[in-house]
Amino acid sequence: MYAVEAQGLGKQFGSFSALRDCDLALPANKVIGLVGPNGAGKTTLLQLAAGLRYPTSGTIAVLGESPSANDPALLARMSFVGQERPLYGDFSVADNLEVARRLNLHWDHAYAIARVRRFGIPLDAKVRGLSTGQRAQVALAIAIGKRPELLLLDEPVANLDPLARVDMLEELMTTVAASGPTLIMSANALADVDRVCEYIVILTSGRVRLAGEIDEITAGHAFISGPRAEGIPAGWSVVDGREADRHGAWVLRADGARAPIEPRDNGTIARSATLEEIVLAYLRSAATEAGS
Amino acid sequence: MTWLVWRQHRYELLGLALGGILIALALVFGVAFATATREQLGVDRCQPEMVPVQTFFVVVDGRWVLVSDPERRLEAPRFPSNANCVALAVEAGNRVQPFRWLLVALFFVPAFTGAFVGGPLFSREFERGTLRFAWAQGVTRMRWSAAKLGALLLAGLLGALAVLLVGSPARAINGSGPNAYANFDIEGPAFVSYVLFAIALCAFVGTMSRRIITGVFVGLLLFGAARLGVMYELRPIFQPPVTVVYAANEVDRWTRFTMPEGAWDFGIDFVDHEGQQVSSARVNQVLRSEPQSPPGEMARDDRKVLAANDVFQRVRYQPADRYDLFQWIEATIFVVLSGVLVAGTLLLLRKRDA
Repeated sequence: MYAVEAQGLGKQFGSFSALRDCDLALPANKVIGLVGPNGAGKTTLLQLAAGLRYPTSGTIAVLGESPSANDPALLARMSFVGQERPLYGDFSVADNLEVARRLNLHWDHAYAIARVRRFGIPLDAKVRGLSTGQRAQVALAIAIGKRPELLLLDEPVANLDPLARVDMLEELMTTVAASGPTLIMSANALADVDRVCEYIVILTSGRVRLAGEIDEITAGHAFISGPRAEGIPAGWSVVDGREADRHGAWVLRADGARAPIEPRDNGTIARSATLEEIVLAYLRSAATEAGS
Repeated sequence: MTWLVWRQHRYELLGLALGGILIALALVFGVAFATATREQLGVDRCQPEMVPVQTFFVVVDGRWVLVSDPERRLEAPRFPSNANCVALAVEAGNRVQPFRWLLVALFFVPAFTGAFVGGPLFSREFERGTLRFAWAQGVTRMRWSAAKLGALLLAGLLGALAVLLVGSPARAINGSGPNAYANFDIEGPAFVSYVLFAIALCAFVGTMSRRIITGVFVGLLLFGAARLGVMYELRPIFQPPVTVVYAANEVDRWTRFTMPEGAWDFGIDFVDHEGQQVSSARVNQVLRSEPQSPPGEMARDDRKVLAANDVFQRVRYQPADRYDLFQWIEATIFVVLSGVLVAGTLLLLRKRDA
């Protein structure tokens, strides 16, 4: 069973397509990163999965069921935390936890309380008065307290300072490793995803550009730079390249069974591409496509 | 959900229920105070005073002579004047004025209750994003929205029922006699239905627009439009009004019509023999074109002049005994509308994106 499976999934807002023709099969029990620029459709995809929005075309299944059915059994199996970390601002932290305790089928109250305490957040403080980081931690404690099979986090580290970012991610990974839900998180910064994710989805302008295991993706792409005259090696195609007068640098994708790239003696560099190079290449090629 | 609804809306819930009870208590006190005041001043026992007239005729040497006697030195005839009773009634009215204002305010209570309780109910959740928190928990949208709206409607119902219980005796505050129709909008099942309708309407508008300010103010506006529309366009014709037309052969200037006690009087207008309404311009034209009586004779009878021109006076009214029926018809209209709006709100919340 896939954590999230989409076929021809699309979402229109008026005349604007936030997501279109999206085919995805995201495996369970992985840490999955959604990467893309602002407005790429990451939030829309997560909200569709959480059942907060309804698709305008295609289908989406979460843990094998349709989130649009608004079925409490499915709601109990997944957690979603939006980018703005929605909580009742005029309730105390304890009251927000109480809401979750009363509305959910499964709920680990002791864990949620302990987790909030561990971050030094006073239970009787009003949520409105918390810092961004504390608020994020409360929202996360509630999401994990549900003991979900699937954890959907929209930009979990957005607006956090660099140190809090790293802490949050490490902490999150420890939790995921311990309790083992599938985690799907979106991120603006590739570095956040690179650090923790095993599987990546690249989205630009509402389309899925690439989806796969990070190991397989890096193995299936190469970076070369050298004289343009040399041409592109057989069995590879260009994702994106930078070309000057006579020299160029390209990120290549293997077509089918990948042919080994031999280092050449004319000053050409050929190596496997880093994840960052690959992601940037896809983002750039999408931008060029949109620009042309 | 009960806990969440209470935690989130306790002030609105208490305000609705206790507000209604407080208004009811104030009305009960107002009635007692008004009754005591009238009793103390003797308003209802008041007999018209016999007042000496200042200008009168006396017979002097077998001739009538007009006498003006402001200093009242002569034995003047006396005539009944109820000025003393009017003064007492005015004094009583002044003393109960705060409670009269309460009755006036009661007219606007459903509108503002609905706007400030119903308007933000769901729109605030949209604006603050809190429904994305609630809907990510294990509660269906339907249960969540039905619990919230249901609780507020129930509290509104309780408050309005408290007002209903003391409603019709409260007419005594105005001392407006037996005419119930004057208090139609602030008592009875109709008043209860306005409260429910206002909450349901503003909740719907708020959900539709997702904006608190729209829910409150557009909701208020639409509520006013619906209320006034029913009040002016439908209520007068819930049943065909009783119509009295002065037929051609029986009218003269002396014919008097006595409005039955407690009736809702629609006033006088003009019709032709087919019952079609005649404009006042036409009436004026007829009266101008027909010759006046010659000087020295009795003035012409305008009714006869009009009847000769196929124009007849008409009086229309709703009798007092239809009052309860009208209350229930009006209440049914607004309760049904509320039901439709509640269903619409729940459906919108079920079908729309968060």
